[in-house]
Amino acid sequence: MDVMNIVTLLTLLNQTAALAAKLAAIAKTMQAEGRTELTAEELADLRVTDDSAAAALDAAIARAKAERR
Amino acid sequence: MTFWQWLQENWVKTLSSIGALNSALITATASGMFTGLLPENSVKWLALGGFFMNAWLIGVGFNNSAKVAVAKVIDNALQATPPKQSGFARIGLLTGIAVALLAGCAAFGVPKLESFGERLAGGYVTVTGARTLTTALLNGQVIGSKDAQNVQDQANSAREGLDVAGTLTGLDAENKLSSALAIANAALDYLCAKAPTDPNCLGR
Repeated sequence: MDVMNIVTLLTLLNQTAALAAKLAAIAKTMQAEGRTELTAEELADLRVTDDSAAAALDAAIARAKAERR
Repeated sequence: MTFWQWLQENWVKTLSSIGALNSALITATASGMFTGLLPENSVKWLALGGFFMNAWLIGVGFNNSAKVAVAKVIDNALQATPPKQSGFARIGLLTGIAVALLAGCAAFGVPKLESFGERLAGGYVTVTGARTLTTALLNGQVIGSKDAQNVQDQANSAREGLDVAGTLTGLDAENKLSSALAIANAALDYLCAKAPTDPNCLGR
């Protein structure tokens, strides 16, 4: 395991924590405001975050294929 | 064995553990777990401290010579004491921590997701979490590109379901959301099948 793997894993932990924090913030705001539906901004934010994760995974898959993994 | 020798042999675990604790601290602070228990300014400093310490740990604060030195220490430690298992166990353990953070949102201050909108948000976070975890497993060479592509395809299906569910109302929306969540959970189950010894996967 080299330094890059450690960086990758720590980044994963940070990203996961950020996801949990994002969900907590949305749920708490909705409950505080008595809403049951997501706002357009909240939905767009969740979608952009997922698009970014999808793009990162696509890039990782492309790299792995190039390395025949 | 001196402390320094122990640290050299357990450098990876130590760094990773500190990172995990920092992530937990940031999440707990951001979710308001300490609100009311500590003065408001203390909560802010806790979050800031955790953030900057993690930023340093993941390399922002490392200059190149420090990175080389750390890499050398790790390489020396691994050569001196070759791991009894491959990197799988350590990566599995660390990704397990990530899964635990995701699956154990309640423990980190995420309220119970009740309304349709809250569960829809939870669905998006689950799909994103599955993709993030897969990227780490692939980069760590725990899984191959074929497995990663499989999860990516399942995540894409779940995402399409979530997008459609968001446009529907009533029972149709509930059914679409349920099927999308089932696909997302199947993707996570698939990942856990690749890491069956991970303690965080035993309950899946």
